Amino acid sequence: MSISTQPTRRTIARPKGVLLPLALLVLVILAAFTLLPGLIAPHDPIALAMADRLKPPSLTHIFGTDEGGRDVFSRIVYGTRYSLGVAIAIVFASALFGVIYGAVSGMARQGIDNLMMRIVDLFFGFPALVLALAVAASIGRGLDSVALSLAIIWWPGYARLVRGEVLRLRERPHVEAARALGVSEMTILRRHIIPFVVQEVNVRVTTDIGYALVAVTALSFLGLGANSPTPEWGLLIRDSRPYFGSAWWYLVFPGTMIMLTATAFSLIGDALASRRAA
Amino acid sequence: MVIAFLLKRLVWGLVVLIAVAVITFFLSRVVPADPAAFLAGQNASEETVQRIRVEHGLDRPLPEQFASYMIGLAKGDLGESIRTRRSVSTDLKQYLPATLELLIVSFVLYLAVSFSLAVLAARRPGGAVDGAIRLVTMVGTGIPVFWLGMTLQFFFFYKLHWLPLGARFPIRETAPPVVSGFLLVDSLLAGSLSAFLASLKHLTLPAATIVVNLLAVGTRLSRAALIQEQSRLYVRTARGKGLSPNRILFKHILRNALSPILTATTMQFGYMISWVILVEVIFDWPGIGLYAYQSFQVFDYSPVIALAIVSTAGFVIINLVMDLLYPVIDPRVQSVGS
Repeated sequence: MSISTQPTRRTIARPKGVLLPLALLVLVILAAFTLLPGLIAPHDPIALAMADRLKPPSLTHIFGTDEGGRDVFSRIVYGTRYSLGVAIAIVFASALFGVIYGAVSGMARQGIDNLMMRIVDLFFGFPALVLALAVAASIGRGLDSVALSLAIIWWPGYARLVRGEVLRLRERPHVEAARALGVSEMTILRRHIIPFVVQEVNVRVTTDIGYALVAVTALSFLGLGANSPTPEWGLLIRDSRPYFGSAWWYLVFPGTMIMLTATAFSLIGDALASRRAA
Repeated sequence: MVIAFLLKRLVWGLVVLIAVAVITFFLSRVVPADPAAFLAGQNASEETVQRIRVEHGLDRPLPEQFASYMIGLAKGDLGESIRTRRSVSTDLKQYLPATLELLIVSFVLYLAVSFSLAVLAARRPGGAVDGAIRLVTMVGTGIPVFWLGMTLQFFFFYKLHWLPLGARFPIRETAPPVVSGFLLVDSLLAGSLSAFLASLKHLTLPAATIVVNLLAVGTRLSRAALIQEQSRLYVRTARGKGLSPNRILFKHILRNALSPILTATTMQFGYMISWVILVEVIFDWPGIGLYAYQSFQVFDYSPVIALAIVSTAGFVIINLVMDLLYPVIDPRVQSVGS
């Protein structure tokens, strides 16, 4: 039985007004944080300064300091590379593998297609994050194992999306025309199907980066990702647990950063989707 | 037809369970360079590792190990925890009721709130209520559940002192005798209203965290299903013959939109099982998520593997129950059958 849970095109409204420009602004800021952290961060993200321990936000430390006297803002700036970088890596790797898998499945004979899709279905039968947790715990701690474990649970979504698109596109007149002209299946896939699929995948990738960021920080929060003193966003929140009752800034800013980033990507994804529908 | 459909789903559920068993076997016996050292934990001596190697049959060939692993699983043997020095299945029996209580309460709350919000939003798509809900749900999907939980703790415990920081029951008071394992039920059975209120207070923040997190995605999906249904021809007919908007919504649209909403809800359950671990960690809620978390903090991994198996089994059961519900809420499913 197949009942679609995806919102149809019509129900995706284009984000109106100031939201989209704001989302783009967030993206620019994130890019700056990733590429030029040294220029933006006013303090060293790692070096301890016990005299400045748990200071509230001020002009010298706009986001306050942590239990080691380190500047929270600088740690967030430097952390962008880790948190967002890993999230983007996960989504790109999953999308690449998923596109190949889905395209092969969509073009293959029915028996193989069926088998390949049953394997994908399997992944939807597991509670995904628990599986990732078990994988990450088994292969050892670190951001690389977080990335690998999340990529393992992430690609099936792309495989399913791409296969559906390939099956739809295969019946299109332009593909049938190419086939009638004797163009090989491989070329049809490469030149007449994949370019359309990629547009669809782009939308999904954009939205997914936000979700992947939340998942990465969640695993880090549980202690499976980066080790202290790496300024990874999820780890910052983990480290704030003993102190946030009296040091609100330590909790508020890293979390807000995750939320802003995820929302920005999801808004831009929606904008891309509605532009495709228009 | 329905029987054939259900049989098919049942077989599929079994396949999922076998797959998760294969994966966990792979993770615990093949991925680590030395599985015995892995099982023994980080600070184990060479003798302990050797003893564990023989005890668990890790010196035997892999196919033989796999067979005994599967037989063990079938008997409910989930290995042993180094931290608690008990069998994982005994531990799980102790911690499972807390998790179930939290999940059930959150899920019922979530269904009620999400459904009402979706109906409100779908009444006038593009209207003010719809816009507000859309914005809230969009920001909501980006909120990390652990951060949301801590923010609630900050306000309701540290600032307002209204609700406890964590745990299931006040430490200084005696919990009601265990009957069902659900404190809300047990305290009522013991006839203690104050114990009931105390457990309710402890449950509020963890449940609220889960509900808010699920709402974001859930309302979006339910709203999409409702709006899609609204554009159908039968709705136009109903409007054309002059039925009131409320009657069209409740008698026609809702009934037809129910099965996509149910599918979305099933998916939500998968997320919920995942997020509950984080919520238990933040609120010190003594369920299976916190149990697994505390174990892998000290490099004790059997509980994590067990959690993967148990939660998948739970998810399979939920999926089967939902499959049973489809023909009930939507008779058209019977004729499709596959």
